[in-house]
Amino acid sequence: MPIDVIMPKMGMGMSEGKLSRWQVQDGDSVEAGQVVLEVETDKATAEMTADVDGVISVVVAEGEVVDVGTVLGRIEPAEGAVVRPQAQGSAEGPSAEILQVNGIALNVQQSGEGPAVVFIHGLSSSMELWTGLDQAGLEGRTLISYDLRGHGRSEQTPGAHTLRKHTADLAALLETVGVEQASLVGHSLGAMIAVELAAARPESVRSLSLLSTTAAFPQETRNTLFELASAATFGGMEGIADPLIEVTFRPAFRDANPKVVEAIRRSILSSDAASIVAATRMVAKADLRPRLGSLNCPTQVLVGSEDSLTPPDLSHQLADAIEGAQLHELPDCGHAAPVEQPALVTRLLAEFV
Amino acid sequence: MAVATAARTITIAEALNESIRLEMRADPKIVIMGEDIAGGAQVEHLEDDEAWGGVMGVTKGLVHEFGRERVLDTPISEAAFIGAAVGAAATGLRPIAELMFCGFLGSCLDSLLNQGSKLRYMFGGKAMVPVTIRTMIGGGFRAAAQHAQTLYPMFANIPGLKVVAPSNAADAKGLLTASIRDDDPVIFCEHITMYTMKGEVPGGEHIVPIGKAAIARPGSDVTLLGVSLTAVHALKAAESLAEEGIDAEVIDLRTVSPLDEETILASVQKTGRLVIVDEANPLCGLASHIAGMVASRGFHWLRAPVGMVTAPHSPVPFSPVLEDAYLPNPEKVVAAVKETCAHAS
Amino acid sequence: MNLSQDELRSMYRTMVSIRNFEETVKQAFAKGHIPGFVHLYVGEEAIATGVCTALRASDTITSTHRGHGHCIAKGCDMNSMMAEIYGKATGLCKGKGGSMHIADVGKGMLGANGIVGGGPPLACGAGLTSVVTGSGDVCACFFGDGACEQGTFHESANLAAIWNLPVIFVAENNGYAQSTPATYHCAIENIAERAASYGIPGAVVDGSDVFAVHEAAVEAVKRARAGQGPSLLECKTYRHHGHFEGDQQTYKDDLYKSVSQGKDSIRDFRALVTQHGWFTAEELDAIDREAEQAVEEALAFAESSPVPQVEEVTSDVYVSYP
Repeated sequence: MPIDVIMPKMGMGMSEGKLSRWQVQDGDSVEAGQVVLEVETDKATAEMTADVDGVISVVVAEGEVVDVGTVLGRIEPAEGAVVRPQAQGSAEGPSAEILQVNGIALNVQQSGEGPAVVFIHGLSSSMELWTGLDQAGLEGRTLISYDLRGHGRSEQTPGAHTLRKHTADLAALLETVGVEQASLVGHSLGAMIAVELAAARPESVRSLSLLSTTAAFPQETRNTLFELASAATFGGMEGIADPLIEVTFRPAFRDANPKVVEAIRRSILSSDAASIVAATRMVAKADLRPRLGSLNCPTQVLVGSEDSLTPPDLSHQLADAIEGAQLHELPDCGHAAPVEQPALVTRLLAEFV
Repeated sequence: MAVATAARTITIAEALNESIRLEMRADPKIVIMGEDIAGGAQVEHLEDDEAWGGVMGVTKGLVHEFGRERVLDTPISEAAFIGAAVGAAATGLRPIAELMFCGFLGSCLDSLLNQGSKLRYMFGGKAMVPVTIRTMIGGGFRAAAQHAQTLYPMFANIPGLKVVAPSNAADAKGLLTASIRDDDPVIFCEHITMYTMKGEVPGGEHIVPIGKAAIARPGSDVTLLGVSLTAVHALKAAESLAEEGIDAEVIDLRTVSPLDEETILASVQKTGRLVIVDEANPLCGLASHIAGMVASRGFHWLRAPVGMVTAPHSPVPFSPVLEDAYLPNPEKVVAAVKETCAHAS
Repeated sequence: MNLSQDELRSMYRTMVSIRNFEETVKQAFAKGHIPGFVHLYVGEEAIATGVCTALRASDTITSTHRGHGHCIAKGCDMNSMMAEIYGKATGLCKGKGGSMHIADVGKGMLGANGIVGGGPPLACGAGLTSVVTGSGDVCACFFGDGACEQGTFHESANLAAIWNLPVIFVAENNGYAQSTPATYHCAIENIAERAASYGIPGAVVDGSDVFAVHEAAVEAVKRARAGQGPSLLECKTYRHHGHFEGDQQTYKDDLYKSVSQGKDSIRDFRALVTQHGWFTAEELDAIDREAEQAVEEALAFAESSPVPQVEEVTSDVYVSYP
């Protein structure tokens, strides 16, 4: 099966890009990792590499501006060739930069002007989670997203992951980028971190948007998460990529969007197993219920109607425990709400933050 | 949404970890203790997740899931903690204790010889001691005389103890689960060279009953009997013997005490020849006991003297060339089988 | 003193029961009615009594080869005890344990123990059970001065200290490990001083004074139950008889013999309580007679009980074994 080279989404807000230069010719043999073309936006340029050894065919000509996701070329893999996906986030985003925060290097991206909105992704994901949101719909705000420690391009740190550490990272990040108060948008684990910060430093948090999350997992799900952590402890990410995808996406979404799922699978596979193990165990044991009573900022809770990892009843319990929280149940949506229902999520955020 | 329900190919270490994890989830009275089994507990810069999880990593992740109240690092005090495991078992817990190397039996023999194995009997059946002692046996790591011993005959010689020694990942999980659930003290022997050995293991609950040997390979010409790593040797030997036209039946003993005499006798009745492979020292050992048992109960079926491939009557040597000479291996088994088969019947 | 009239009566009854029981065993052994060998607790009654009256029924104890007194103090049935010592089928352990392994787990008595130093690790286990199940029970671990030189004592005291286990280590220092004097086998005068090396409290009390023992035990039990960890109680005491019955005791010097004769917890108790007018001598005499009668009954029960069936040899080794 040919492997597509597509126009990458280099950060939130990018909807199209220009194929500035082909570095190989139609019909050339390429090797995995070899640079084949360059793309550019008004803010950045990036080199795209081949994911596999094989023969490349050109689909889009040099100089054309195309939508994100457009197939630029195809590589017919050589016999027995192994697909080596591009290192996650190898494309330079518009203003993605590595910042020293809380003593570690975090990959941070900022765009826009106005009140700050910070996006916090979930377990085994990265800031790429948010790329489907419509930037235009969120105009008039400074949009900040980052990779959690041990995730994406942020530093892998030895030792246990704790919500305390992740919350300290977020607090330090706000300080580093000079934001006194922000609206927090967290997905799953990211929402847990947002809640922790709102409880610890209410003055720093303007509002909370908690997507696809829970205050605490039921025992059965904890067991599943511990199983995943243990499997990755002994067998690396390979053993848990598929189970992670299964609990994240609805079957219908997986069937309809094989490429999106495949990209996420590759991204999971390139994760650092030790970090994911540590973070998974942290998530399994998390219990934010004692924090909820003290939250006093405007809060909305979003959940996919078909979320099997954090099903709607958990979000109902969460919203009930936070004073004044609104609950939105998103139709036709699994756990990965920002990926499965980006337009709806954008609209709900635009109305709230 | 349980993940591990289907069979997968995993290592013995992983299979043991899975068994302990599932059992600890199901029964809050299970605690696990031993030297370094959490590893780095209370060392602040490490925290739970970097915890070692035992010298072979078998208990990795347990302290994080079950906490330090149930996953207990012990001082290097085998007498105290093996004894404490016995005492805790007698008073209502279901402890798992790790005696890192079976040679450390020397430091805690009383707890097993005079306490754990005998409380029930001495108390007229009014106590039970549901403790599982996991311990490493075997050579091959160039660990020399004190850290490479195979002492299951010593354990099996003590009434009141059960002794198991799996040879593959599925049995490792199934037998450990059975051992933990067993109401008697069980010595669970893990071969030092086998932790990374992979095999297909059923997900979820998996139990292999204690006291049941397995026919690992059916055959008609000769019975090869091994346990733990020597069962693996026997299987390899059987493969090469097959190429020479000798059809060997391989019995994986799996449990040393209680001994599955019926499976052994039924096989000897079928093949008329028996070669026992045992990594323990030979004097008053497992091989000699089984040979005696077969002579006593199945002499009339034997067409040749019972062959024995065992360690010699010496400590385990250090130098690789010496240790290799000391240990049983498939080649030695093949040679012994040929000698046995050369006897006119 | 915070002891009620009932508690005092119960203490006295326990002490005289032990004394009577042991003297009866001594005679029966001399007549050849008891197999094996027996170690008598005469002279040390105040320790088991003072400690066990500080315990509740669900608390546990570990004991020693000199365990009859601990059994009685923890509430074991004397008929079944005597039958066990006689090796009878009606014994507490069906005749399989005998004097040195007499036990009643249901009463929290985790066994007399033939191994010197065998008890402390088991006591740590009982303490761990309490911590894990949250029962709040404590374990009193009795052992002699001889056991203090066993590695198990050191390992267990340290383990109990680092795990903060609810264990009360009770050293019954009767001056001799068999024939070897404590002044020879122990490098320091007071075993209780070793507590300092485990970071736990240690106290020396007069083991002939049931009130002193009780008071120290109450304090140690209170700490243990409150999650404050183990304590070490050293009770200085005197063994009136030999290490075992038949021991010629040639090793006991005159000083030990004379001090030993002057130490009698029962006589002291009687003097104190009658002096204060808490009990009359007649009341105490009545308790004496009750105890004598109970022990006589126990003896009769043991002597008339059947011996075990030979088939019992191989039962009770395992819960299940094919």
